[in-house]
Amino acid sequence: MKILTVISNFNEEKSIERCLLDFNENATIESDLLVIDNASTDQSINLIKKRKVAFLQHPVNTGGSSGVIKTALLYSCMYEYDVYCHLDGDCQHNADELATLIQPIIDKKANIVVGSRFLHKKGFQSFFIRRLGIFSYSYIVSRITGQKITDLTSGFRAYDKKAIRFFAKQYQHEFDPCIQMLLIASFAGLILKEVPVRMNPRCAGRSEIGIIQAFKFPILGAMHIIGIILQKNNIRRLRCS
Amino acid sequence: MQLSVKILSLLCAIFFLIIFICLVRRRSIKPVYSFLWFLISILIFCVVIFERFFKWVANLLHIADASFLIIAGVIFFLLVYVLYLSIKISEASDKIQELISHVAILQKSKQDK
Repeated sequence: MKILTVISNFNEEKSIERCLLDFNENATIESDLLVIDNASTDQSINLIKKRKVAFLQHPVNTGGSSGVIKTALLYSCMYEYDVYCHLDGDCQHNADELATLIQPIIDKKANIVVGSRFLHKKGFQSFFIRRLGIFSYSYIVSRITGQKITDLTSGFRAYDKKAIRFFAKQYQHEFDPCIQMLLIASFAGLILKEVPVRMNPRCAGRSEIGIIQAFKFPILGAMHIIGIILQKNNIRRLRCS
Repeated sequence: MQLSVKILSLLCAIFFLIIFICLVRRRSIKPVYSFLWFLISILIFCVVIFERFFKWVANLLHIADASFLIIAGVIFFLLVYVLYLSIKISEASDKIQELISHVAILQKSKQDK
């Protein structure tokens, strides 16, 4: 099985080395590693080059992690990977849990696997307000899709070949990987599954979800849900073709 | 309509027309997108020249002042245009994202060789 692990990087000079070290020492799967840099302006790209890790560099910043995911999906599709795993470059995800993450794909029980910090409630649980937002939208998305989702903002995910092929074509700019992606996946007939994982607090830097994002998240979340419900029939047609 | 307002409107129409011609000649804007400014200048010309016609339409719609009709028309026109631009921006941003991803992958494959 050909597996690709992607680490996304945007100005993570304080954490990227630790993240790469964690992957090299603790990864529990045999996988190619690729760092996708979203046009960083700090020293992180030099640190990646020093470590002689395969990397891709966006010529311009695409805003948020969605652009990185698009590139990763396209790359996985082009080089015919069977599984694509995603780790954030801020050390929030642990490489020793990659085997747990891809197990449902190996067992052919899921097309997309999401690492959830809330299933066993271990490790960093995020702040109360953010948790409230995550729980509310996870509940709504679970009700709509009929598939249990508890941590829809988790970036610790694995995609199988079917999901890679589907989203390499359908993933659009400023696509929301939290709500939009999971809803589309479900309507397109892809099976979602969550596995329990531990998450760490960011070891350095700032999260892309700041104060403005905290206000934007519920509004945009509602817009995404309405938008995807309106597109439901078109998405189902995509599955047929 | 008072003469001063008519002159001001005509100056406005000429200004938009000049802008339209300059932008298209300099290729700073595609003719499709500059079409709005061309239409606006034509509309202002029409308002001045066919004042009676607009008053007649306003009476027909029971609008007391013909200028409200024009303002409402312009707002509607601009909203439609903003919607059109929003669609174009969405399409363009998807294409840009696609290009950024492809460029990054191509760059890597070039470096690998």
